[in-house]
Amino acid sequence: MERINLTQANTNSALLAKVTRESGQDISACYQCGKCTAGCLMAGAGDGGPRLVMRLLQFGLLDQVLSGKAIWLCAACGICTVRCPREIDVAKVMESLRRMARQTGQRPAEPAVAAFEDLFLTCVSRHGRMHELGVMVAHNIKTGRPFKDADLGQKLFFRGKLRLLPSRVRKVAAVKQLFARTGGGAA
Amino acid sequence: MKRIGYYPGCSLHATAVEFDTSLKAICQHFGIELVEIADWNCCGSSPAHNNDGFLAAALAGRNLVLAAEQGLEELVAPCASCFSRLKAAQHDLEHNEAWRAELEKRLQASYQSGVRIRSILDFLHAVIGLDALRDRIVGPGLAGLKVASYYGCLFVRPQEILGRQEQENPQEMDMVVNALGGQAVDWPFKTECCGNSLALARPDVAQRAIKAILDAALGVESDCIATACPLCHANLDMRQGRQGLKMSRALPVFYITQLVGLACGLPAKELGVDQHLVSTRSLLSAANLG
Repeated sequence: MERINLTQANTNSALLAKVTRESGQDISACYQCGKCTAGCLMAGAGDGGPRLVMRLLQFGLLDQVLSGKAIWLCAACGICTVRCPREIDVAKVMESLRRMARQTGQRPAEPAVAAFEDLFLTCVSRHGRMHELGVMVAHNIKTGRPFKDADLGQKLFFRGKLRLLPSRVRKVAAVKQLFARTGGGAA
Repeated sequence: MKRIGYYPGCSLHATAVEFDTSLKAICQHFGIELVEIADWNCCGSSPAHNNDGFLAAALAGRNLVLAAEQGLEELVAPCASCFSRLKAAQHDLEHNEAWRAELEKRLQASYQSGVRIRSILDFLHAVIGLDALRDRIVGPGLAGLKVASYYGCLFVRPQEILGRQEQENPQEMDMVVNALGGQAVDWPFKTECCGNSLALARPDVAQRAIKAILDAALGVESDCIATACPLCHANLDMRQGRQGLKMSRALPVFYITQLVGLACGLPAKELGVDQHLVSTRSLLSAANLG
C-alpha cells in the first residue's frame, strides 16, 4: 500500500484551484471507489493510477502529482471518465495536470513520453504534417536507443509503409502561427 | 456520383497506406467520390491536446475552415484519432468564442460551423449503407470468418464530444461484419485502449495492453481482428510476434475497409492486405477471399 505523507498537505493551495479551473472538474467529488484505476492500462506501470492522483489532489499534494509518472503514462483513452460514478471527467483532470507539469518547466518523470510529444509537435510546426519515420528516428536518438525497432522499420519499408521524406503543407506558415501561445484558458 | 470530403491525416499517407487504398477502392466500387481537403494539415493528435488546448483546437480547426472554404459540407476522417480531434475542435470552436476569434484572426479566414464530420463506421452506415453492402457481396462474402471487431477508444469516447449512449459495447463494426456475411464475435475488449503512442515511448506498458487484447480475441477463437484506427492497427499488427507478444497463433488484423472490399470481391492486391506484418494469406485462401 502506498504511503502518503500528509505533513505537506495543503488544501488551500492556489495551484489546486487552478486544477479545478483548468479542468472544470470538482476534485472533492471523488469518493475513491477506484473504478478508474481498475480499468486503467497504466495503473500498474508507474507510481499509481488515477484514483491515487485524485486522492493526492484532495490532500493538496499537487507537487507530488506533477513530479510523478501517472500523468505522463496516461494514454488519454478516457475509460476512467466513462466509468466514474461521480461523473468526474478524470481524463480531463489528467490532461490539465500534464499541461500544468509542462508549465512548471521541471524534468518530466517519463522523459521518453515527453520527448515523443515534443518531437511530434516540432515536426508538425515545421512541415504542417507528422512525418512518422522522422519522428521515430529522432525519438530513438533523443532517448539514447538508436536501434530500437530498426528491424520493424526495415519490414515497414519493404511493405511500402514508410515515407522517407516528410509531406509538407503548402501554406506551412499558416500552420506555424497556430503554435504561438495564447496564455491558456480552458475550453 | 455522391461526393464527400476526405481528410486522410498523416498516417494514411504512410504506415496506414492500406487504409487509404482500401477506402478508395471501395468508394470507387460504390460510386462515391472522395474529395481530399486541399492543403490539409496534421490534426495535432494527442501531443497537441496534452500540451495546449488552443493549439489542439486550432490545428484540427484549420482543416474545418479549409473544408468549408472548399464547399465540403461533410467529410470522412477514417483515422480514429483524426476523427476525434476534428470533432473535439468543432465542439471547442463552437463553444469558445475567444478561441474561434483567435483562430480566425491567425488564419485571416472565417470559421463556418456545422461541417458534418463522419468516422469510417458512420460513413459505412450512413453514406454506403448496410443494405448496399449486403447487395454487393460476391458469393458467400465473409461467410465462415469469425471477426473480433475492435473499436479502441476514440470511436466511443469522450461522450461529451460524441454524445454516444453506448460506451462499452458498440455495435457499428459488428453490424458491418455481419452484413458482409461474416460472424462478429462477442468479446469483452472492444473498447479497451491499445496503449496509444506509449508503444514508442514505453513499449513495456503498451505491450501489456496489446497482449490483453490479442489474448481476448484468441480466447473467443476469432480468425482475425477488424480495426478502424491506424494506431490500433500498428500496435496489434506490427508489434504482434515481437518479444512478449508471441501468440499461440498469428492473428491477422484488417482494416474494416479491407474486409468490405474482400467481401465485395475486389482484388486483394488493391486492398493492401499484403502490406501487413502478420500474414493474411493463409486465412484468406482458406476463406476463398481475395
